[in-house]
Amino acid sequence: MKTNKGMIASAALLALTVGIGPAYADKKYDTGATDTEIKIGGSGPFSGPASVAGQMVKSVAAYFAWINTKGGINGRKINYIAEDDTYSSAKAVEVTRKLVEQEGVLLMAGSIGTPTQLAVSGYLNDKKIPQLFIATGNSAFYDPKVHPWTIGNSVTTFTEGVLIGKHVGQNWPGTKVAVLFQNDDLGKEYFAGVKQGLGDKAPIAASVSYEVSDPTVDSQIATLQSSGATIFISLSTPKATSQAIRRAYDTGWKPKMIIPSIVAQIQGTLAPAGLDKAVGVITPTFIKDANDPHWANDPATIAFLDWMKTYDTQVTDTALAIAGYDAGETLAEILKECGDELTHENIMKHASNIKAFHPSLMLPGISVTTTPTDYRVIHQMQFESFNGKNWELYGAVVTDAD
Amino acid sequence: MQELLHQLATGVSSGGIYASLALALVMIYRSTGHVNFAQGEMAMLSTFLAWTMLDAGAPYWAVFAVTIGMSFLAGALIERLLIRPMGGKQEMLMVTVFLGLFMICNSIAGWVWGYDTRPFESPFDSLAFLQNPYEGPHDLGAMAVTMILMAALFLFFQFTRTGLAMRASTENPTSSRLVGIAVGRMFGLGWGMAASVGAIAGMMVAPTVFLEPNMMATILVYGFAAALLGGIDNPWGAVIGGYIVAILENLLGVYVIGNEMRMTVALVLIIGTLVIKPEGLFGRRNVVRV
Repeated sequence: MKTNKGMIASAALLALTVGIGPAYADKKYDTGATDTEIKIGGSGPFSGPASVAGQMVKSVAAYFAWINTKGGINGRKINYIAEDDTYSSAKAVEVTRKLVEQEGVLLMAGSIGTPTQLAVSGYLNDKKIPQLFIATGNSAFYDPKVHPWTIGNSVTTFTEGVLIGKHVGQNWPGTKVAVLFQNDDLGKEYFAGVKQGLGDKAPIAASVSYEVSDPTVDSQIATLQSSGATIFISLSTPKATSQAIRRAYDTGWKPKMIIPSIVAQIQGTLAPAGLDKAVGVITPTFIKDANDPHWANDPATIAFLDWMKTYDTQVTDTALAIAGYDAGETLAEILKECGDELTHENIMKHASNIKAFHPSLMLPGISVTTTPTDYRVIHQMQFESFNGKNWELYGAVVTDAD
Repeated sequence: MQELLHQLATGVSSGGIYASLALALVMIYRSTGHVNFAQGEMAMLSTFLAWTMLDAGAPYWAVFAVTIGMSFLAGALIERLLIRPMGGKQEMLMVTVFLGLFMICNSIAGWVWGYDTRPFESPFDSLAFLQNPYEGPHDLGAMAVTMILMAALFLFFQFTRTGLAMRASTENPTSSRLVGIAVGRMFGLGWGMAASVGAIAGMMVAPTVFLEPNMMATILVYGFAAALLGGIDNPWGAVIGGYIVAILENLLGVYVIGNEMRMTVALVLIIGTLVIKPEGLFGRRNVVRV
């Protein structure tokens, strides 16, 4: 009897061991992942004319350095290798191949640069290596049909256009709208979104394009002003936006002006035009502005600013630091969910099934969601208005779904 | 009608921008016989220099004067160190040197000051009596500066001994030397003055287009078109050329060919002038006895 009991106990133990056995065998790794380390690659411009943008990638690196001091993710240290691509597509291809073929990274993440990342997305998709959380709104980075292994980390340019259009339609129905847009992918995608968002709520009285090579946009402003519009949506890059703000003010037009989130930097865009001339300018956002006194007592903002002071010391641009921190946070969450199955496939499975994850610096009420058929991570934004010193949030969160 | 007035007005303010750089091109052509492609970049560097002093809190007009002086020295130094050793004979060699200078200036600015867009102070913005619905106060002020500069250059070349000596050095260096003109010094003076004129252009342009290393790159194309169209050896011709280019570009861009084709207007004017009337509308025809 006693022996029997012992045998049953042994058998039970054996069964348990067998039961646990497959769980250990479930540790699955692709190149770049081990029991102690996950290798991740990133690229951005650290030198040359666009080097400011590279601060975002440096911030991603700083984020993981910080995570490592806290023990890493699921016991693994993150080895984030950032390379300088000088914002040149040829160079981006070179450093990405090096990261994949020589360094053997598990995935590429947290890079910046629309043309440079587009140049490598074909290569990475062919190799089935995830290309995650790039700081760009270009819709090409959010399309599972074209690039199943690529997901960006921003609101798409089109979605943002839709939200701007909806906001105008809801708040100023029937008011004449003037639109200035950069004559390229970026400007056209914004404009297409704005048109859809406006619908028939408000008429577009005039729309004109400008070229990046135009020394000024004065002539375009004259055309728009003459249309009699009182709302002015400027879908432009920083320099042209500064010029537009200044010119629209100097000629006495003074319309209600809306600019996209990518150019809403106080120092970079509004200051050149003159902060007094930019009072009342509106922009959408999905992120907490760490410089805004509104968030001075927000624990997440305080934690971020402390982190920036201690870990992100090479970075001067707060907006880019936030972008890097935010990409790092979402990526860390996904890697945590992946557990011990660190394969390309599993990472993509989790990255394309994010259910309302709320990174700490995202505005309340806005979260990250993806599905295998819809990679657009962000669908909501809130609007803010410039008061001469900082941006002030107002109104409710606007969402692109009706 | 209202729009046409606005388009003409913006044409005039852009014209002022093109004209000011065109004047620097006239200056260098008149005094050395070359067109310096790096003129715009040198002007941009001067403007960064001015920005640094303004940022440190120096008063505007003092900075204005110091920048002109320092640019003059820098221009003369470039002539002595880079240009004179080349002998100024082979056109292709000179073009290469100018392009190299272009890139060096651009990279230095990016390296020292970075590629961010910065605001640049205007001395005219605060003048309330210049307020009007068509032109910004700065545009009007800059236009006045361009006019004064144009008159000064015209008088200098036409009526001063140095101006005449400078013209002579370009036309015929050997004969000039024989009559006692220090030709080398004239070239140095020309480079220095062109750099000073460029510095003024930069400081007048920057409040409108904002300061960054590529500020002058596209303006140079329009400035070149303006100088060629008006006659590259004629200060007032270059200024009129600037206004013609800008107004034509605006009216054609808005009413005829569309905004996408604006730069094409300038390029067509450059080629058209060179093919049909190389001396420009108001330039003097070069007649050579054979």
